[in-house]
Amino acid sequence: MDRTDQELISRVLAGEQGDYAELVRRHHARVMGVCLSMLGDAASAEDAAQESFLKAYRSLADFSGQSAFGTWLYRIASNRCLDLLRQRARLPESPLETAAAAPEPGRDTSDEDEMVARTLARMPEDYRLILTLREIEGLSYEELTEVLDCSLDAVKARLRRARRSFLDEARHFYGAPSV
Amino acid sequence: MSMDEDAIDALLRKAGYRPTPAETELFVLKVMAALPSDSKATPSWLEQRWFAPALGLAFAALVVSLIPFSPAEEDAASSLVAYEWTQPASPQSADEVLGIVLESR
Repeated sequence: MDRTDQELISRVLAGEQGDYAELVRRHHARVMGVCLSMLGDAASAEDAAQESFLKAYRSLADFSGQSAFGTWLYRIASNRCLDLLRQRARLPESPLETAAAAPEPGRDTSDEDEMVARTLARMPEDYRLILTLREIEGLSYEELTEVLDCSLDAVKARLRRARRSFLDEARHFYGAPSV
Repeated sequence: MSMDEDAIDALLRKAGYRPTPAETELFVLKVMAALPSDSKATPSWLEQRWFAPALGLAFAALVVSLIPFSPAEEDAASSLVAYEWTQPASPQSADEVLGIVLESR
């Protein structure tokens, strides 16, 4: 029988550390997706995703259960990615980082995936985050208010601006491609 | 179809990260290996630096409050204080510390 996230959390808090593996397994793709979209390269994204799960484990006793575990994880991962991006911004830009948005060699990525990744990489980080959470990960507006810690109106307004920004970037660099 | 908003939606929805089961299992192994080995997730307040001193202070206060109160000891102490206060000071002809003989007028 599949246990719910809350049941698994209770078991982990009771000392069944091994049950945390199932939580990681369930949420790996979503957390990694956010980190990859935000950071651009797979190595940094994997480190950030791993740190997010470790942070979540350490703070598990503080998880109130008011929101879904996945939403809480998104929040931790988003904050970690924003911290890393701020740290990067303070460092002089290296050639490796300018190529960060390029898809990883060996990964099966289409031209469209590559275009999305490159376009997202040119956008301001808060727009990149909200577009990733809403359009790629499919979060609801309510979940976005919890992850981003802002009002529903603010979420809608930011999302509108982010979509406009994505459209402008895509048009600027790729013309008006057909999909 | 031109690059309109619907196309953006379609593009972004397709761009999600889809790991293989092997990638997921490898990631799970890495996370589990990195978990602190002392088993249980502890509440964050337990890891605070102030917690141990505060706990010690609280324990000391508890011990002090539980020491049985002895009225006899209190009587002896208060009698001594009362005795010292009520006795007239004896006239001294020499300073006790410096040994100087004081002149009397």
